[in-house]
Amino acid sequence: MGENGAGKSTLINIISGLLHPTSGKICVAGEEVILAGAIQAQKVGISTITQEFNLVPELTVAENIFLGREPTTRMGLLNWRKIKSRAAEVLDELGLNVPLGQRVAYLSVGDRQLVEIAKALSMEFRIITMDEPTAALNAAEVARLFDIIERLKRRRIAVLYVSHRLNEIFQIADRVTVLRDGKRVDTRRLGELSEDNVVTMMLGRALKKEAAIYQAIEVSEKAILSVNNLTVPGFVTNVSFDLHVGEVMGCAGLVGSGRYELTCALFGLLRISSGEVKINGRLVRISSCNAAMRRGIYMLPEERKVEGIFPDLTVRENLLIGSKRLFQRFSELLINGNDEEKQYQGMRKSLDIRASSSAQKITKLSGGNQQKVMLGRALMSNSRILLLNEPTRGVDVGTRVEIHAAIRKLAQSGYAIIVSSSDIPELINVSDRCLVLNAGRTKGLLDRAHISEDNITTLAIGQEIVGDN
Amino acid sequence: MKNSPELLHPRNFFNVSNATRFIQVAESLGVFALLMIVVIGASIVAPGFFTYTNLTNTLISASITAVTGLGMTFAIAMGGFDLSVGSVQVLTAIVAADLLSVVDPPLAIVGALLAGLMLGLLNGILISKLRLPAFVVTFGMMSIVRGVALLVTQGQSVMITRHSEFGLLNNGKILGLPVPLVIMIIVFVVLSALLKHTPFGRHACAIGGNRAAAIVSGINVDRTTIAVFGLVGVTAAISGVMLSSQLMIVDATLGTGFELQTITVSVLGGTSLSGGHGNLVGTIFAALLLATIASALNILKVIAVYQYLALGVLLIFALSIDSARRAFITKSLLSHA
Amino acid sequence: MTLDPIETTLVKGERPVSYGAVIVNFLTKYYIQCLLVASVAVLAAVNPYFGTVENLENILLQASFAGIGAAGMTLLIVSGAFDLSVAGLLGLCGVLSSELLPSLGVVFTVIVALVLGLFLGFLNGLVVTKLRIPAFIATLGMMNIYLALAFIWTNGSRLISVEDPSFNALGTGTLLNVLPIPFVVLVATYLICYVILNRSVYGRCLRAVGSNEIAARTAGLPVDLIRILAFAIVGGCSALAGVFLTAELSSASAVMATGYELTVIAVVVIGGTSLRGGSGTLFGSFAGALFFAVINSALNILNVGAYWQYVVTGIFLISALGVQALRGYIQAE
Repeated sequence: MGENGAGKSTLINIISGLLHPTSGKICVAGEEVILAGAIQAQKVGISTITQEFNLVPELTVAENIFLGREPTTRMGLLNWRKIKSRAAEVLDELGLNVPLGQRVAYLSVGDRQLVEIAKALSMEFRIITMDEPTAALNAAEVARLFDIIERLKRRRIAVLYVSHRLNEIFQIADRVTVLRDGKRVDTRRLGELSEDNVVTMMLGRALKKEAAIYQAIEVSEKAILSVNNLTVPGFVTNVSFDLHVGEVMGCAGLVGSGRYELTCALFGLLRISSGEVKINGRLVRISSCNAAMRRGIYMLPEERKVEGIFPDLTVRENLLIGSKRLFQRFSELLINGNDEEKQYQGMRKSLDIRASSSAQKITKLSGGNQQKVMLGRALMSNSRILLLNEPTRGVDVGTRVEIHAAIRKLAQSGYAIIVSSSDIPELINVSDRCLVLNAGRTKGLLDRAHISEDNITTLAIGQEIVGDN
Repeated sequence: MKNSPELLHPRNFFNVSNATRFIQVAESLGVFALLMIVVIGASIVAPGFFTYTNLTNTLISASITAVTGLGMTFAIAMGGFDLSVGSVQVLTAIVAADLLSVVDPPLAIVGALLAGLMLGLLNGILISKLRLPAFVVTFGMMSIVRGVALLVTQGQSVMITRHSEFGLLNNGKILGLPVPLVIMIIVFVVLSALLKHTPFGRHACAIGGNRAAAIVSGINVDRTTIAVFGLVGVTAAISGVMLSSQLMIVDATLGTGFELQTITVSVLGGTSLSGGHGNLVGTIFAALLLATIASALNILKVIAVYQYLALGVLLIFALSIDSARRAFITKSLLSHA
Repeated sequence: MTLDPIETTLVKGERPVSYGAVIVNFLTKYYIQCLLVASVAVLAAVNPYFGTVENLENILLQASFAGIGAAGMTLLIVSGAFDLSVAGLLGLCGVLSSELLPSLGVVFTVIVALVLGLFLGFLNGLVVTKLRIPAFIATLGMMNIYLALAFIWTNGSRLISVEDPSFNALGTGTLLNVLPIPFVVLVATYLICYVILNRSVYGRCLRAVGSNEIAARTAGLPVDLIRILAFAIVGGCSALAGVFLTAELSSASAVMATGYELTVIAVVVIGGTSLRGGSGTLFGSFAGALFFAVINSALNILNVGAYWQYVVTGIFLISALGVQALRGYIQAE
């Protein structure tokens, strides 16, 4: 267990052989092993079940279970009898009711996960790691998964279950290891702990003294953005809030809380099935990115490498892409080098972007500076409402402080900003208020006085705040 | 837990899968139904279509296309494809014709098949070991092989004068069926067995369906890729041999547009470009369909050009259906997430 | 979710480079241009006829047809797509221009042909973006359709002769007595395309779409429109090439440009533009077109059969790909 950033996923990746540790050893059954890759880990008996299943959708359940090690007859043909009987054995063990000849593509997410587990079982793995297995499951499927984990335990298979969901851990686990800041806090038997103990272990730390950036700014009375009962099918249900000019509203929540999808919907990338969005009091329909930009909304995507940066383009081009609408005016077909350079220099100064020149390839910049360019792009779009996702992901400490300061300054100069982040100290640094989402619904809206790491984490996990913090 | 009421909830009966399953079945039946319609239509509209001679000729020309189409289906299932099949077909036809002037038919056939195999393996090696994109490599090979064919023949035709019994490969009958048809059936049976009943075929589908999963499962992607392209080369060679037997005089200008034909019959037959599975039966039906249309148009004295046009339109049509279907599946899967 | 390693603030400084590194850098960036110069020098030294003005002029002329198409194709490949229909498109436009010439006169014929090319390219773009069919397969099908239409128009591969001397001058005439007019048009086309690609807003959007399509959508760019326009540009360039080819040959037929798509794509690849998209070099494509013409000329002079052209083009394409893959390796180091 551990909150976001505690190192859970990294640890799992190391154990699965996908990442290499810089020091320390891994021992399996008392013998040290070196895991050069996923296949070595499998040879040693470690199997990992991740969110992206290693299943081939067009193949059947039975074929997937035996992929890569199919039993054959003397003629080289697949030995269907053996495949069917062995697969049936495994599925029976798990109590899985799925027909063997069914294509995996037609299975629900929960069933696919079980097929993965069946695959692991059939390979006689000794250790199965599961990384946030219940993120996409419904209640019935979760119950079924726990049943299966019980069976696995009875088969003397060790299960390493990574999660941030307290109630699940308490249902299924025998021992719990809590990670914090990449270190192991403690490993205890569950019987000795209460839920509160675990939460304290996850959170309780001396808050690193980050330079207190926050200074209260006058916030306008009128709401520039009003969201009422917004529902994005599959991700967000009935979320409402108001956003004012001069305000920075944080948006907190764990994996699967709908944080990112909320901003995507407001930017026109996801469909809103019900609810209203008002800008300056007027009802609007945001059906596409262009519609959102025309209304003055701009979004910074979560993963800049995948969704934000154009690796072949220069710094200046990355900054100014989208600043001119295509074919808007005939006179603006060509790029005016001087104008653009001025714009670039202006942005460079105000955000302190460190690049050797405007013509440098963006990939040569450090992560922090790339993020600043992304922020600059948002600013160039002339939108009053900014939706910033993970603004300091992959950014070094110094630049992080600069970006936070920039966010506060922007609010002061007349922007309305939503910062959606998994980084709680970041939210504490910049937010005037903080919306906390859990499983797609609003769990709480904290005002400045109540914004604290404990409160945000407690709400994000799904608990209620006890007492007055 | 197993029989809790929640599990029996209608939501768990996968409305998505029912819809997509329907689509799959409809596809296999669809091409067949289309084929029947076209055959009936052709018999009505084109007098002389439903004669023994004409049907035989149609079956023969369908078989020649189908043989390579089956190989192409295999390749598409693996997520790749081969634009050089037309050139390989013509080169192997020339090889067979040339060899026939010095050796006996069996040896000539083997020689041609070997040539096709080599070319296919070459494609596979360039694509997997050098990590070059499949279509550009086979696009380049298409040109190289065509050029070699031109060089070997120096623009002249090659006539098969010795061993005129070679023509039996096209005109003869086994058990009452035209030999080309029998060849196609044999190829179909072999490829079906390979695709569905051997680890090799399942691995190929895995690579096309989810390459990362295939790698993690320990499948040797390079080896499988090379083998599949070798297979395509062999099927192209088989159709080349059949072609030379049919015409008894070959030259290097044959076979243009053949790659388009084979891809069309694969996609029309229900094999999706996204990879993961191959509909071999559908490919055969689609090849019959194409041959029927061509035959009917011939009888109606519609010039070859319009057939060419029809082929292009048919391909675009088949591809849009494929992409529409893929979009439908992703959308319905998402909304049921 | 991937975990980003935290990076330092240090600006990636410029280390002092050695002369060797500078030379290697220059060679890898401009290898086609160097290859071109080297091949011309070697061939001129080895064969007396090669270096004559007459031969060089011919090379410039022959390079123009594939080169003009390659300019548009470079832009399209930068956006991440391919067009295999250009041979049919060119044939159709050439045939049409030869039919319309008597009634419309030179200027209007060129304009009409250009408009047709733009329209057909636009059609290609629609099929690829709106029907969501992978570009090279869709254009392969469209190629058949265009070819068939051209056949139908000419009642089956009939050669249409063009008798108009002022039109033919477009193909055979020269500027300043040395530069063939098609070559001048080639240069002009490249200049225009260069401006579009590197100095216009559209060009920047084009490169963005090819570089990272997801990011382009997230940034609000009209990706479909950008793609369709790129296809239209290719169509226009092919039409232009068709008009001048018709003028030079004094005739048009549906199959006048068989294999054109192969040559054009080979020229672009050999010129150094990456097939992944995002960046491209028009100067490279220009040099590539000249290089191809040089090689063809050499093959002709050395009396190597015309059939070698197919083989050579294919080998060049695949080797160029290999070189590109290698450069990718080297740069990643």
